Amino acid sequence: MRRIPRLRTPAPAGFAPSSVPASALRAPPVTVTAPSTLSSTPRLTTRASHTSQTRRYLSTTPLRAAQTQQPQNGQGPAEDLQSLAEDDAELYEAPTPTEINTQLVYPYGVTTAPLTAEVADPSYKPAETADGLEEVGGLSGWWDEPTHWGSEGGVAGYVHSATSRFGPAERVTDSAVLEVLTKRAIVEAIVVAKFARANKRKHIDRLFAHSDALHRLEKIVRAEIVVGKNGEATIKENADWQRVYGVLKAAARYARRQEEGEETGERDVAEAQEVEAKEAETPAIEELTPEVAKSLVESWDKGWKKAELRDPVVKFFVSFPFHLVLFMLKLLTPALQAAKRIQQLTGHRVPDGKLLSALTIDSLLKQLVEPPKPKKLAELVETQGVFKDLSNVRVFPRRVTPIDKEKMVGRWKIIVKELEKRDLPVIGTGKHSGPIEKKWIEGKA
Amino acid sequence: MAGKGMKSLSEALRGLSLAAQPSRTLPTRQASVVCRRAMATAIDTKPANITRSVTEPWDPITSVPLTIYSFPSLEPRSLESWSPKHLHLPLRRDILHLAVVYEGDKTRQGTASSKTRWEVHGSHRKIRPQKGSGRARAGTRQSPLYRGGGKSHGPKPRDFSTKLNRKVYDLAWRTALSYRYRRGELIVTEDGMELPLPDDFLQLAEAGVLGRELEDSFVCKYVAELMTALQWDKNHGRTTFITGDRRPNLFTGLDIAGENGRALELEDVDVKDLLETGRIVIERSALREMIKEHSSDLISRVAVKGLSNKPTLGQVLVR
Repeated sequence: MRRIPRLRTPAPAGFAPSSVPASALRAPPVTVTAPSTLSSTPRLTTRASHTSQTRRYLSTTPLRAAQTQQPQNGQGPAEDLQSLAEDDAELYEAPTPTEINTQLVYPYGVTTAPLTAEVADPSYKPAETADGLEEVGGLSGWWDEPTHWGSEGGVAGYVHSATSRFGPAERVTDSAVLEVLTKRAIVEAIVVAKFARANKRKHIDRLFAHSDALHRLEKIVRAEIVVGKNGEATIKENADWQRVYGVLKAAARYARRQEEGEETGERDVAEAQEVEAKEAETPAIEELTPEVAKSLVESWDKGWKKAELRDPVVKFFVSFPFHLVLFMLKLLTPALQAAKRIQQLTGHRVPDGKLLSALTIDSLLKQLVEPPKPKKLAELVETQGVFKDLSNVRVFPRRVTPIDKEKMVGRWKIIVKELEKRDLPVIGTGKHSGPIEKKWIEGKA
Repeated sequence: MAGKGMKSLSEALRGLSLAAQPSRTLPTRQASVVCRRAMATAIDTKPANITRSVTEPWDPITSVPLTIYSFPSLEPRSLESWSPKHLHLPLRRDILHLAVVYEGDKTRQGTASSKTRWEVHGSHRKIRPQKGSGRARAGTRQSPLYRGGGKSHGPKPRDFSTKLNRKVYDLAWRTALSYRYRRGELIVTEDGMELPLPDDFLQLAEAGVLGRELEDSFVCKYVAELMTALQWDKNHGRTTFITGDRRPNLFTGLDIAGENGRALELEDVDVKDLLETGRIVIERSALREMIKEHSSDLISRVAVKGLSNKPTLGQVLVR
């Protein structure tokens, strides 16, 4: 049954923004256009068989929404509409399935069995029970089939490609890698808060957007974080401030020039190579594996974690580079560079409340690598080793049953043997009825 | 009982089968060697600011940060600074309990009704003579002692609502929000939060090639997958979305995929809603409005140096 009339109704009332007061609480008009039922609007007689209903799903992209909202042909009385529809119906025709560029696989030409009342054959006698009837068709499980989503990963792949995520699909869980990336983030945040206009997010976005996790990583994490006055985190060497800021700015500048045009590209490449050569004193990190990260972490002085992060703006940006985008320039061929794929880094969202309680870098790190909450108390006891010094305390993951107790003292096998010898059920009552007194004892009768 | 018996019987049969594990002893949780290591991930349990020396000055926090995210990419878009009296109140379970009970009482329908003996239909003729029948004396057949008679002390429609001081109730609202905030379960999004549905699906829906069943099952799957990717799904305690007004895709989508979350308009929200489900995802303006509406206890007539100490709503730090 088609629910949406193919002809876009020309009634502006249906698509006009709902008559809600323009309050701050209202969504932008694109999203609040709740079309009223189309039944009040004139309808094509030829389409009368199709019930017109409220559209349940609306576009949220401004372009399409605007197209939909466009009032078509002013007042639109019924006869005008009909003649219009006859003249150039294709103009108003919703896109036909062939025009829609989609990877989704949907059933085409579905036929439904006629209702009992519609069957003309007088000899037809409807079944009264479902026993023995064959089940045919049905669309209830259509989207459970991964191939119907048209992409490799089924629904997950489809959703991943359809929505933008500011964070990778999988979070970074290795503690050493997290620590390295955290240090990078903190160094950059401290530097940016000092030099850049820290309250201008877009400005800093630009700075961060073009330097991914591996971009000059070794140069940035080399900067030493120390406990400054008041215990606040700061960077030790004066040269480091400039260097880190320079790295960020250079990346942003480089990216902007590349966007500006190809003519400057050659000069940029030469310039970039020059910069590369100049900075070649430290070996660049190709890939941040847990081993590499561990060796990096071990090379640092442990004192840096004691420093405190106080400025909320610094903290905000500390949580920012976790979502830094990674341009996979190395992996992409020049042809694909136009469609630079963005891959995101670690994807840990640090909630404000936790950020607030994390005074020092150390506690921030601990929150990042916090394991998921155990589902059972026994798991928690196990991981924390609460009772490991108490030899007389044991923790079981489930209830200790009478059988367990017998097993503990080694009597269970004997019990089983004796019961079997007497042809009695080992567990439960078997063919014998249960104790008839039980219900009296339990007060149920 | 029977179910339990069946369970243990099947358990026993499984145990006796050949494929049963050689040892069915109850596993004891002794911390294994791997787990006995000092967990680098353990949170230091020492709470800050609980005790202090009298020599140390009392230095409470004066503002708390609030990050505004985009939805659904969850990109941090701006930063605001809020008063701790709005978003960082101490947890008062008693006040939350008062508020939830108050709301529960207020929403009781209270329409239960039964007929007294004076309302039951029928004649009030004496059933039988007072004396001589050998049976108990009986008046009318509407007597509560008889089947079909009236109900003595039965329910009558009434208002169950109780009272709660406005200032306490407003404190409960902000306490609930603070509780969520501190646990990292309050996610504030930019205004106009709406579920983005893919363009190709919308075109197909518009062309009418899918039909309602397919459309709805598509959206159900889509929402479920989106929520799973965000770790907001039913395995993570569902999610409550709060918006200023009804957003078609979000509300319809969550109606269909209700097992993963719910969507509420601001005016439909109460304290209990804030305390249910795994997290609250709320629009920035809806949160502002909510806090503004529920801060009667912060208004003071006392002005120091001509200034009232009523905290202002959130200030934008980073835009």
